[in-house]
Amino acid sequence: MIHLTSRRWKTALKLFAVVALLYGASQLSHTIAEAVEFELRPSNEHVVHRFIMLSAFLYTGLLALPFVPGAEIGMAMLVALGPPISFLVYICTVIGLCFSFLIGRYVPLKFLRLFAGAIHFSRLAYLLEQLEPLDRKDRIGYLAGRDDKLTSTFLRYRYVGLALAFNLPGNFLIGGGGGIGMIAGMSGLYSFSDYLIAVMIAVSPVPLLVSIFGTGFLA
Amino acid sequence: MFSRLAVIAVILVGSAFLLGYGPNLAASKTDIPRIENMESVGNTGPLDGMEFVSKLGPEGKPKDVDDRFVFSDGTFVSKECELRCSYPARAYYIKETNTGTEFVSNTKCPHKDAEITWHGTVKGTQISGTAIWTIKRWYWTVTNTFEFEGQLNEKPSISAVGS
Repeated sequence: MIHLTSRRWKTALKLFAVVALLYGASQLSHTIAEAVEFELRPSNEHVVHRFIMLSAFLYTGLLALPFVPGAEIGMAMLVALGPPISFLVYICTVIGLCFSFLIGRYVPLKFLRLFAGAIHFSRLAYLLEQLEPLDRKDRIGYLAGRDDKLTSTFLRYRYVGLALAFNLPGNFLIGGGGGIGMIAGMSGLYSFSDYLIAVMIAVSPVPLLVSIFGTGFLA
Repeated sequence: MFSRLAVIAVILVGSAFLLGYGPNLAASKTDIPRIENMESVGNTGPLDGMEFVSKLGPEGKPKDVDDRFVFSDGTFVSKECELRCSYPARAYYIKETNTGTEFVSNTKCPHKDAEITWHGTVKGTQISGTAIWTIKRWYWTVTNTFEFEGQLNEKPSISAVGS
């Protein structure tokens, strides 16, 4: 009983720490953006361009990895550079999530599990270890908590579920965008072309809203 | 078979639309002065021989960049922009108004897809106006406005007169 209570407290503390971290990161990015009073000028444009290319490259790569908060880099780019950068952030998001899907689809699960273990991604390694012996349908069942009704509903509306999962606040707890994309690839339930369309629609709201209304609503 | 082709067609059309129109989706919108409303001065204009020592800065913010504006042989050049990105001297167009001689000049950077449209007014020994700078990269188009003001340099440098 004491052990159970202790575990609940630990989980609650972890959740609180994650929320506090996200809130702190958001406040910090706003403070930095205001402090720098960033102004694009002919004299600094080439430096800004290199910085943007590097950030876009990092963002795309990190977003493809499960349990890595890559989305925060995209948010930071939107906050710092405003509406004009929303198109690039959108393109990088789509490419990053396609990478994670293709990794899940074509890289053997065993290799992914060993790799995750080697870089000390213990939660991912554990998840892959659990999924490895299961067939495709059972993998979805496992992820849906072995609830048959939930599994069947999920399978029917799997693209809607995918789109919702990408936009779910706190989805980093289930691997973030990279983890969701990788699992979608592993599951074999999604065709790449349909997955691409689902991703293109699912990740469009934030960049689109920023390009229309500016970054104010992100605060 | 048809649905697969339809999906591929949607992806191709969507991608083409995004690549073509996307960078302009959130482009800054600024009214760039139209040269059509102005009068060409040819090789000699009323502002030729004038050099202004000026300050330049982002719209509504302190003017923190020193610059020299030179009118010569029917052209206008910002020496700071010439130094930074080789923006060349380009023809200027004028219109006489109650507030002085209004001018417009457009120049393009030879190294990247960027241009500046200078729009100002010369009244006596004073110059003031705006420079609208547009930079296009494959992922965005940004337009920023800068303001400038300056004083006539009574003793222009030899290079400025000759340029």
